[in-house]
Amino acid sequence: MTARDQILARVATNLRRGWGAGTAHAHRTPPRATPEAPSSMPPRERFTRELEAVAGRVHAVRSDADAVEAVLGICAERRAPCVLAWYEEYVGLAGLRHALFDGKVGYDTGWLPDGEPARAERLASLGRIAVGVTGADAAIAESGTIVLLSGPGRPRLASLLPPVHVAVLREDRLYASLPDLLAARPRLSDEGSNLVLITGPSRTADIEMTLTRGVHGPAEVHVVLVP
Amino acid sequence: MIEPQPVSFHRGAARSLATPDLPAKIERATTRLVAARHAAFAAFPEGDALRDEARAIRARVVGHLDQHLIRFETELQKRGGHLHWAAAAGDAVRIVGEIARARGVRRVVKGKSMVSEEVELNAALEAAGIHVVETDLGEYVAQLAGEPPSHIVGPIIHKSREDVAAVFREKLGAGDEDVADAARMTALARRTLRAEFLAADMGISGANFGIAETGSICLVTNEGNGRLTTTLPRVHVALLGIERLVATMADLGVMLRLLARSATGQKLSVYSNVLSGPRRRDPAGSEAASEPDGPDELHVVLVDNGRTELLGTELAEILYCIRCGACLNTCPVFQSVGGHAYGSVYSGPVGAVLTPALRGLDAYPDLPHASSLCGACREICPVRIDIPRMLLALRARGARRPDTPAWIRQGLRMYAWLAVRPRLFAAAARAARIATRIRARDGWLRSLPGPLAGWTAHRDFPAFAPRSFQRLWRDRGPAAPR
Repeated sequence: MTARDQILARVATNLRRGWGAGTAHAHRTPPRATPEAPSSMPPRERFTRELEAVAGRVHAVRSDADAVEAVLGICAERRAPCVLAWYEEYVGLAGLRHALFDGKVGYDTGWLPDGEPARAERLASLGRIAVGVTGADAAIAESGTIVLLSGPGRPRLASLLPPVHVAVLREDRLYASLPDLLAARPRLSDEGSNLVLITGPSRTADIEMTLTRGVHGPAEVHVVLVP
Repeated sequence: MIEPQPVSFHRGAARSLATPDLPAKIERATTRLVAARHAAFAAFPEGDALRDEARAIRARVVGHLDQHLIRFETELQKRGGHLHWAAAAGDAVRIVGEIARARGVRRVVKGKSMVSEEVELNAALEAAGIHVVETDLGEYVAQLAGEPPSHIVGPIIHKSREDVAAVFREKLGAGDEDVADAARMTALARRTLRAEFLAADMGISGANFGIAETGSICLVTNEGNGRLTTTLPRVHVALLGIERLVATMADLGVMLRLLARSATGQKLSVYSNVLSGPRRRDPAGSEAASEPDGPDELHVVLVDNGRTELLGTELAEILYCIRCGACLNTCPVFQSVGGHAYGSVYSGPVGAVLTPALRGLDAYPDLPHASSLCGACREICPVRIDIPRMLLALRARGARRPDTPAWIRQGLRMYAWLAVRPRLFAAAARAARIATRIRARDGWLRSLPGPLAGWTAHRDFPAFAPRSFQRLWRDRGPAAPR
């Protein structure tokens, strides 16, 4: 009998002993019929307020052209010679790649080769890139969260390795809450091997509860909000 | 695994209380975490109803665990992941070791995993000549200091900034500039660990949840080390307690909203990372149709290690736990002594149940007594686990053990006999009232005689009230009209 079969057999046998899910004598306060508090604030404002509360930045722009300018501006401020980015079609800003090239900013889409030392060398060079540029598949207003899926042309590392992460978010992808998002897109997590919910910059409070940003992931998260 | 000497909570607690500044450090951290948790729920009106829902979600999974495990296995494999079953700690260690050996792994980066602490994975890998680095900042400091973590969520809440600086000076050769404040120490850790990440051949992590319907695992972190551990190395191995499943993504959503609020008062943690199989590649080899990064292999090791023995028992409910740490923060005992006093990986109220439940009362005879039964843990638990009930159940088991001192067994038997005889009980109470009031000063006794002296070794005992409850009840007159 394999370990698997042994464990499953033990689970089945022991569950029949009676105690367990249905019968556990839980102390419970009676469920209060509190309806989901409808936030009076429009999702766009709520998202902005919540993301800024966790030290993220929202750049609200009026057009795609302004969005491209916003991304260029962030790169210029950091004098970034190159970005680690999703394919332009997934960032969702036509002309971004050209505009960056014109500004002398390279565009690396982060493909990791197989075999050593090629893979390790590639990682080391990706690790030197200062700005990551991605799209956002969805966002959650109540917590200021952006939702990113991995996939072809959508490297995970773009939102993880560089100290600055810029995400381009279309306003129609904004949901009020996490349950709203999961109800609207129930198969979301299966569209790529990695679904990540990002709520502000990387942080730690492990040393004396002192909040410090950028411990492993990006220290800055910018969301360019496009109508 | 061979358990050495029984672990004594009493001795551990005494050691903690005698350590200068330790109780103050623990209390400072836990007080802030509890305040943040309460503020988060105050601003979350649906929170209470959601806790009921979360409890029901966990109860359904644990109550039909075999079905959910099989579903999880099928779906994980469908997405190219490998599932391993570990019946005991040693099996988990062996499985991970074999994965590492077969791939010639020399360097491992680790994300936070309580299960890996439970099965003592690091020591075994190091013995096999593998370089293992913890990458959660707190866990990293604890590893450098050669100490176990002292809290599920905040591994080094027992350390001050100066303590951490001393560790970095000694172990990393850090200069004064590097350790001047928390931000600079964090930056130093980032630099050091980034190099480890880039050079690692294997990432080992825990997981907060497995999702049965998609065979996914979810890792929740604030630092991002969990994402790096599961993205950079070619091979990712995740250890998951066998009970840590939810049925659906929608259920995961409920858990995530409660977990962060309960643990740190955040609405969501910075990264909720859902992994469904390894890097996806186009079978025809097209780069444009393949994921550009991510691990080539994903292994999930399901660890039983005593958990299935709790199913169908009065302790099954402890398996609902989602490891938020809130019960530690709110517990007056934990606040005074910290995690190390419990002498096991899982500390606080949840540990006082889980550790003896998994490892046996022989090894941890007095852990169920590490509580005043005040019920604060039950009040704060996001899945409403009735920890005091299980502590009492374990105490009852303990009292029936043959090595329980005779005076305790006799004493309890005598009390039980007395308690069901109202007249005698009243007379005994009267005698105790008179005796304690004679001996007390300012209403307190500094010491009690005989075996009761254990009670007054660390605290005073209040004299009985001048009038008994029975007396007050009689004197309060007829009940008020309804």
